[in-house]
Amino acid sequence: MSCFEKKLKKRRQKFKSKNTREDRLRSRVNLTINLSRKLREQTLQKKRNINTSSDQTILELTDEQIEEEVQNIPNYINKMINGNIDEQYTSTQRIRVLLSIEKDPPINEILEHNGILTTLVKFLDYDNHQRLQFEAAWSLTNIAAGLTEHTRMVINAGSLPAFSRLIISKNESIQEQSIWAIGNIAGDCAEFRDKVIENGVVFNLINIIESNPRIEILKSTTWALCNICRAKPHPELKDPNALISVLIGLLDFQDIKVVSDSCWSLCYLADGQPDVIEYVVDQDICPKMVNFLKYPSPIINTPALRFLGNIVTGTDEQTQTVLNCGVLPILFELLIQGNTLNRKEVCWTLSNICAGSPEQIQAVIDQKFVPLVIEILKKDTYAVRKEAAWTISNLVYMGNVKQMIYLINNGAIDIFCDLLSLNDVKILNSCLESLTKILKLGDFFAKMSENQVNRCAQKIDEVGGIEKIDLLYKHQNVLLSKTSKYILDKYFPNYVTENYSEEED
Amino acid sequence: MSEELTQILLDAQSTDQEKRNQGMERIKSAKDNNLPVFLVLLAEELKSEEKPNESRQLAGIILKNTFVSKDEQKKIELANVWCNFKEDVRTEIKQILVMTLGSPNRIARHTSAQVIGAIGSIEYLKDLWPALFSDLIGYMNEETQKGSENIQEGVLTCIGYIAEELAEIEELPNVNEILEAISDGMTSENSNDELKLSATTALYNSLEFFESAFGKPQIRDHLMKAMINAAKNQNQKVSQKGLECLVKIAYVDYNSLENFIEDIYEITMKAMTCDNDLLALQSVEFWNTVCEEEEEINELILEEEQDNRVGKKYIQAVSENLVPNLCQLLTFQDEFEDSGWGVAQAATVSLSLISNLIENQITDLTIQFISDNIVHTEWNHKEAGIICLSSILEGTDTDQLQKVIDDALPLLLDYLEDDHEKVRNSSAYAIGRIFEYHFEAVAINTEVLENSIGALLNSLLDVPHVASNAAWALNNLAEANDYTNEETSPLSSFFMPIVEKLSVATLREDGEKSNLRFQAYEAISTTFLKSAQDTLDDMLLAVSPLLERLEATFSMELLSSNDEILQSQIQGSLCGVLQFMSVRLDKQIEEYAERLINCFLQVFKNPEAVVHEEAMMAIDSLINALGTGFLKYLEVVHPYFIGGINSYKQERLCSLTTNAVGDLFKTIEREIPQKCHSEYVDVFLEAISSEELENEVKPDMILVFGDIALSICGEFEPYLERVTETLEHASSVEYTEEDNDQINYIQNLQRSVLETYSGIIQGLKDDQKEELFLNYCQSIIEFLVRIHDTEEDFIDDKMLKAAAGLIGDILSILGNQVKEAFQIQPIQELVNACANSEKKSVAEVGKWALSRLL
Repeated sequence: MSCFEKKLKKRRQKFKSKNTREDRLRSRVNLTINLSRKLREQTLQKKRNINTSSDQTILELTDEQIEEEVQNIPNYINKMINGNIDEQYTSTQRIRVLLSIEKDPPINEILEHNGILTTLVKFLDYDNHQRLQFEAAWSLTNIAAGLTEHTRMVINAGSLPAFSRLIISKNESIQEQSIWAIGNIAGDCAEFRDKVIENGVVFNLINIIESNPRIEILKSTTWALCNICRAKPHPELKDPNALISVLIGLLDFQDIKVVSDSCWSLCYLADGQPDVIEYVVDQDICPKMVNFLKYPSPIINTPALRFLGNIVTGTDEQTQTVLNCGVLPILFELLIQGNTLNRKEVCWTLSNICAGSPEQIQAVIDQKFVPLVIEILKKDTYAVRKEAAWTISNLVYMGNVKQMIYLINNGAIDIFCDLLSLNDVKILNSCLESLTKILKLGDFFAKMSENQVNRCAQKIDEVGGIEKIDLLYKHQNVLLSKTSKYILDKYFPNYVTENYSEEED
Repeated sequence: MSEELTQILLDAQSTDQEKRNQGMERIKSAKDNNLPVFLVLLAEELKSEEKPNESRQLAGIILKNTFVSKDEQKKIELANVWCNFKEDVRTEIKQILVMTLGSPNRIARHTSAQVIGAIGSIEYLKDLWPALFSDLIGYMNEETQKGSENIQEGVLTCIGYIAEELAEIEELPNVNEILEAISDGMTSENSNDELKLSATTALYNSLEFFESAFGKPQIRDHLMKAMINAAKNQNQKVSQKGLECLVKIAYVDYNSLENFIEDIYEITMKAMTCDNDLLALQSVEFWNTVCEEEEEINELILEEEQDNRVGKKYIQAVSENLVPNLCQLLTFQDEFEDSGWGVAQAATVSLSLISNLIENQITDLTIQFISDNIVHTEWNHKEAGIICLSSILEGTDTDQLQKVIDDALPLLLDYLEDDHEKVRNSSAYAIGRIFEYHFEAVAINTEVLENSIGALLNSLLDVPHVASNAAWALNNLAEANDYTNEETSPLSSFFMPIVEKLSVATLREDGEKSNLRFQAYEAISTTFLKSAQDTLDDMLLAVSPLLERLEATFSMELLSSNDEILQSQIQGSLCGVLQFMSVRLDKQIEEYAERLINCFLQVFKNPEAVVHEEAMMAIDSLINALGTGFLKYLEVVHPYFIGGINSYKQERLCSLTTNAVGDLFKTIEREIPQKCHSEYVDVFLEAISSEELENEVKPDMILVFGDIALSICGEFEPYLERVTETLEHASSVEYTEEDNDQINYIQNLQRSVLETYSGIIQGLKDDQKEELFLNYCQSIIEFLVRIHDTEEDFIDDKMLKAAAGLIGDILSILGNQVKEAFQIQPIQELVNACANSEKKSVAEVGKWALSRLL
């Protein structure tokens, strides 16, 4: 029977079809085998004795159960406020279970009751009832993880002093829970982050790290610190160097998540902060960061790259420190093989190195970056091309004559004329400036040659650059228009600008 | 001599019985006497224009049947008989036959075409006549020039037959030459209808071979036009064949429809409203095929798989006009036949295919037809309305249909008592479909639910196919919700009546008709499996009568093969019912355990293999229900377990037995006699290394070692070396190709190995023999690194969990002795990935392992 005939036959069986003997048997076989898989799982689970005590009450609630529980909220809250300690515990736990529902937890239904937050915060002080303390901390964490207004309410209820104290609690479950709460609050916005800092949290978090804690605690602590460092404006720390030293110490840790969070924290702290940059460079962490670039996952190599990018925005000496670690060959590899984000960061880093001394620019050229960057300018995604454009224009702008000639010979004129079609005023401006510099050099050579021809101007004409410059001349941005006019007047006096009838002032 | 043969052939078709027998007898003895000579004579007879039609035709048929059989084995033997003839004999016969293809006598040339179809395909497949097609076409062209048109028809008919015979092979030579001959026959101005029909038939039979030619737009468009013209032909036979070609091309090469879909749309819409059923049927079939293709394309898109078909959503575009036509065709149903395939059936399937494609949009297109017809006084309209409703249920959302169902369900319940059997049948079916897809729409109204159950229970007394649909509807009702964890359910109060009435239905004399008995038992099973806790007491009461029924099957009188089939079916169904009862009743089943075991084991005496699987599952459910209580039956069951594991050819039985033995060790710790476990280890090791056993079963067998080790703990020591050797071997299997089956198998295998190691070390630890495990850590580390290094796609959550679980087990138990060796990056990464899983149960194991690793 051909495939086609089988298909026809199968179609005929669809008429008023019901399950066949084979269907039923197969479903029964599956049922049998699944039952026994479950049994095996349970046996091993039992033997392993995995401590899941803190998670025991994560119940899978059905929709009906949720509805029922939501009805019960007033009742629970009443017991939390007025009940005895056992009732307070069980009711808080029910509330926490509701707040732990993954999809749309009934936060509003709970918060509309007066006194719920102050009660929860009060429970944070119940050192003699740690189970209740833990449930309260968990509930507040989940509320703080909601909208900004929810987070604000948690702060206003006075929870921060309590959490700041509980993050050094001897009870690890409570400690971990409180660290999460702090991390959630600090991660919301700079305003809350500052409040967290005001409560002396950073000092306590540093102490936790120095006390050599369990890996879970260490992980949540670095995560919370990372959230504290992230938001702009930069956090105002009493003793930033103490934090930085601890973070640097964590870079040697074995856990990838801890290392990653520490790296990011250092990144955020160093971003645009000359003091911090100076301090970290003095601490000699550049070799380590350069080494991290080789790590095969963006979890590590991206923050390391961003960190080094921050350093090279500093002084030429600081940039040189990074270059001395042999960063260029690694950047070269990353630019070829890295993901989009990393390619963009590499270009950004390069553009900053190229804003440095002629020796530093020469190092970039010697590493054969130019053809690669030009290649990227031709076909990479917009975000990467933008950074690459800065790299190449900085090269021209900062480069010496020899370096400029090298660039021109490697197709820089084509690429600048290409870039003139981009829609980004800053880049356009820098391209025009670069072209101006190139044309000036062309002029210089023209005067020395026999035929007095500016080869660079000729080249711009060949690749259709004039028309593009002419267009920019009509751009509404004054600077662009001015520079364009300058170029046209000075280097292309014979070019007659096209008149657009609709052209306006 | 030749007159004599003519007479014999005529005698063999005589109305006079005696003459006929004589004729047949003489033909047989002539065959036995000298087959080659006789065949040449037969061929000559077929060729002789002066002979009567009857003798010529029979001569051809005898000749053909000498080499043709429906039985595959026999077919090969007969083909060998022909091939073993001397070449000159074969050549002579073939020459005579080919010459007959141009005979002015239609019967003669068609018969000859048939014979060449048989012999030619045999020779072609054996490479004895590689130039078959060019010979035929060459001869045709030669003769056509002499002015004979018959030869064209004869040869094309013959090519049609050959293509049909060769359907299994991949490609034909001389495709262009053949296509040219066919398209010439279809389109030439001189072609008469006969010739067009044979050419179109040849095209239909050989379409698959022209796939590559369809890649060339010129050829494709030419052929598409030829098919469309054939479909438009006034001659009904040509037109039907033309439509069949279009149906087939939609399947063979969906892309070719693009330029012609409008023409085809017009032709098929016209044919659906003409008086000719056959043309209407092919038109529906065309759109059915397009539906199936587009469904498949959509699925492939969903799975992000490559496909060269470009989905055009033709159905979406035509549905507005197509659906009303299909609805009309529903009223052309046959009054008595349900099993045939006519326009009404095809249109029913069509509507459900379309509803799956355009989903909720089907409601608007059909709602008027349903409401007009479902209350119609004529039965065929009424039934068409019901069937239309049942066809659109699968693709639509419940809230879309709430009102339709609210209106229709009371009517359907009434119609369960309609005078017309077909109306009752379709109503029961429609109710079943509503329960299957839109139970919530019914469940919100207790009164409707109550009425539905009452009406369906009554219908169990109706004729078998109505009763069978009613039983199926009750099955779907039970299936719709799982109440096992509930104290009670809306169905609880109907539990006993449903079970009782269904049990009565299973005992009906005519129960084998329309699968009634099977459907009724299935409904009972499902009702037991999903019912709420307050039904368990009643369920316990039902064990005894059902068990007696199973016992009674062993003394059934088996007078015919039908009786044997009946016995197997009943045993299979009852094993299924009792299995689910054990699952639900758990320890309470204990008082019947001995009788149940005896019954299940007796089922193994049935020669029918499928029921052994049912029995094995039933035994497995008893193991789980009884726990240690099963131990006293182990001695009698043990041989059946060993037998099941050793039945390599019955893959599913083998796998179910493996599962049962695994459950045995999981539920009974330490108490299984030593001679038993050593035997299980032996047979499993042998099975895993056997090439006769399908690979798919092996991972499960490996897992059983883990179960055994966990159960017998330190007593596993004697097996340790042999088992770990097998594990190491299994862990070294590597991916060789991108084949889903293989990927699946290796994933299962690797996971099994990991879990089994976990079982072994945990078991050893219980008797303080964990030091023995130190020998295997190095190879486990290497294995973990190999897993880490495989493609990321192959490492799913389950794999991570098994890996992290094993790492955690080893480090918890052996601690500092091995810790350093495990603190390497690949292992770190595996554990980290597991700890970061989005699945909570997986992340939990990962975190635990992480805490041991650091």
